Amino acid sequence: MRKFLCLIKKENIIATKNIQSYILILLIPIISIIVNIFMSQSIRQTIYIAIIENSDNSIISIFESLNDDDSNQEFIFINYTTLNLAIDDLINNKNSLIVEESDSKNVIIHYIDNRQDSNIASQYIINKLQLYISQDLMKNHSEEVYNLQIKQPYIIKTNNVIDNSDIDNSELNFMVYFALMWIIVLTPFSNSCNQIQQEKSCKSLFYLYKLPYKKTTILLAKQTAVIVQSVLSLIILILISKIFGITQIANTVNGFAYILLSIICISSLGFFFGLVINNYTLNTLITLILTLPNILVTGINTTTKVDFLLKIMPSYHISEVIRKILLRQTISFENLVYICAFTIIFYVISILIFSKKEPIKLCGRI
Amino acid sequence: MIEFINVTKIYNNNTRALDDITFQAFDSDITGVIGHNGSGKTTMFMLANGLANATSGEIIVDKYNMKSNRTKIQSLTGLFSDTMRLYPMLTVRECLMFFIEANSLPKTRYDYLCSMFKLENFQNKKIGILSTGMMKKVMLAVSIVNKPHILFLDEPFSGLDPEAKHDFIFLIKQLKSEENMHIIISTHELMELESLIRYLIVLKNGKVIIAESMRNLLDVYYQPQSVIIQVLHDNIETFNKYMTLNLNNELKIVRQNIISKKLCEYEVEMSHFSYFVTLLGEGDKIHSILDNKPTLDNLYFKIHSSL
Repeated sequence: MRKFLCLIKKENIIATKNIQSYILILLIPIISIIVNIFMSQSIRQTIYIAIIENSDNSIISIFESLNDDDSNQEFIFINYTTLNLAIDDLINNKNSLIVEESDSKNVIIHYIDNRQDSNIASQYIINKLQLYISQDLMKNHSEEVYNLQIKQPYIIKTNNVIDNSDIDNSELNFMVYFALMWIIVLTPFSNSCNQIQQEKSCKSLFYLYKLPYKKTTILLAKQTAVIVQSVLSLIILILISKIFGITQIANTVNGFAYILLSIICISSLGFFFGLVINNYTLNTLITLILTLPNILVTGINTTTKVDFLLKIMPSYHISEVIRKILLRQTISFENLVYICAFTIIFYVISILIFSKKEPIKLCGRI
Repeated sequence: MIEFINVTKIYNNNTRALDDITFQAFDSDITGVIGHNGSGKTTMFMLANGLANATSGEIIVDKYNMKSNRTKIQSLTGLFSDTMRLYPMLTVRECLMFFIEANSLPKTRYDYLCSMFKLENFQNKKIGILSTGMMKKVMLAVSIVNKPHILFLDEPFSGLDPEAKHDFIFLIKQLKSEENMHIIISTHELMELESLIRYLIVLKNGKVIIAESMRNLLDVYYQPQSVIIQVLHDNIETFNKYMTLNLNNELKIVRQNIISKKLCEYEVEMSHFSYFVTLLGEGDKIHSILDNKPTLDNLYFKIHSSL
C-alpha cells in the first residue's frame, strides 16, 4: 500500500506542479461561463416603454405599480409636448414602445412590428392591461362577470405542477454544459493520453518498467492524478459559477458518482490511445475527433446522419449523462452500461498492451 | 556475471540490431562496451535489463535466465542511459524518495545517496532546471537506488565538461569499490573509459568482435617495440655530444624530446635498452621508464583494422 501511495503521490505532484495544464483545463470553461453571462445579459436587456401622461388619465397608476415588479421593464412617463421626441427614440431603438391614452376609453400602443423588443413590449403591455381590466371588472361588476362566465363555453383554470426551479432547468445552458464537458471529457482524455506520451518521449517509462509495480497499479495511480485534477477543476468551476450566479452547474454535485465514472471511462480511453500512438499531434487530433462532435451534438440536442457512428463512442454516452445531470433528469441505464463496458474494455486492453508490448517498442526509437 | 548466448535481436523493420552474439562479463571487472553508432550497444543494455525481448538466444544474469526470471533480473540490474530523462517537475528529493519508497527501502538510503553524490545543496531544486552534470548525477543516483548487482551505464560522459567527467569517473570508481557493483559502460569517450575498464567488448554491426580482458588484448594487439626513458642529466649538451661522437649509429634512438634544461626523454628500441643504460654518465640518473602502451583509441582502431 505504501508503494502504491508513493506512486500516487508522484503522479499527483507532477500533475499539481504543472500549472500550465491547470490553466488549459480551466481557461476554456471560465471563458464559457463569462460568455454565458454576457449572453444572458444581452437577452435580458431592459425594455424602455414610454407612457404619455395625460392630466386626467388613470393609466399611469397601473404602470407606476409595475415599475418595481420587474427589472426588465422601465417606464418613462412623458407628456404630449415630448411625443415627437419619444417617436424619434422609438425609431432609434431607445424606446421599445409608446403607450398613449387618447381619451378616457382608448389606449393606443405605438410599436414597430419588425422589432423583437417592440413586439415583446406590446405583448407585455396588452397582458398587463387585460389583467387590469379583468380585475377591475371582477371588483366593480362581479355579478355580471359571474353571469357571463356561466354562459362561456369554457372556463380556463391554471394549475402549476412544476415549481419554478424546475422550469429554470428545463433548458440546457449550452455554455455551462460545454464548460463541464471540457473538464469531464476533453481534458481527462488529453491528460491521460499525455501522461503516457510524456513517459514514452522522455523514456522515463523504462524506470517504471524496472520498478516492482504491476502495470495495473501504474495505470491506476496515473488515473488517480487525472481524477484529482478534474475534480479540483470542477470544484473551482462550481465556485466561479456560484459567484456569477449560475446555479445549473451545482446539479453536478448530485451526480458526482456518475461524473467520477465518466472521468474513469474517458481516462481509460486516453491511456489506450497514449499507449498505441507515439505522436503528440495525432493524439490531440484523436482527442478532438472522439470528443468534440459528441459534445456539440448532444449539447445542441440534435440528430445527425452519422448518429450511429457517434453512439459507438464513449463520449456520446458520457455527454448524455452529463446533459441529464444538468437537467436533473433520470439517467438512462443504457448509458451507464455502455460507460462501464467501455471502461472495462479499454482498461483491460491498455493493461495488456502495457504488460505485453516490449518497452523498447512502446517508447519508439532509442 | 552476465552472459549472452547466441543472442539475436531483430526489430520490426527487419533491422538486425544484434546478430548472434555470445560473451561473458564477470563481476570483478568494470567492463567497457565500445563500437560505432548503431553497433547494438544500447540494444544490448536494453536486453540485459529486460526492457526488450531477444528474438533468439539466452540471456543469463547472475544465474537467472531472462525468459523465466525477468522481474528478478530487473531488480538485480540498474540502468543509466543518456536517452532516459527523469521527471522535470519533481525536485531531486521528491524524485529520489519516489524511487526509494517504490523499492521499499528505508529513508537512510536517501541520506546515503545524497552524501555520496553531494546532492545536499540541490535536493529542493526541480530536476528540470539542473545542469547536465548535476542531472546526470541524479540519474546515476536513481539507477543505483535499488542496490543493483550489475549497473549498466549507457553513454554516461556525453555532454559533460572535463570537471564533471572527472567527478563522474570518481563516482564510478567509488561505486565499484564501495557498493561492489559490476559496472558495464558503453561510451564513445575512450580516454575516460581507458582509466576505468579491465574488460572490453567491441561491437561491430551487431556482432561481438572482441570480448577480452584488457591484459589479454594488450598481449595480442601490442608487442612493445620501444621504451620511453626519461633521464635527468648533469649536463645535457655534453651527453648529446658524447653520444653523437662515440656511437656511430650503433644505438637506435627512435625519438628524443628535451623536456627541460636537465630532463630529456628518449624513445629507444626495446633491444637497445640495456646498451643505452650503459652509456649514461655518472651524473646522469634515470628519472622514469615508461611503457609505450597504446591508448584505447589506438587499440580500437587497431582491432577494427585487423578485422
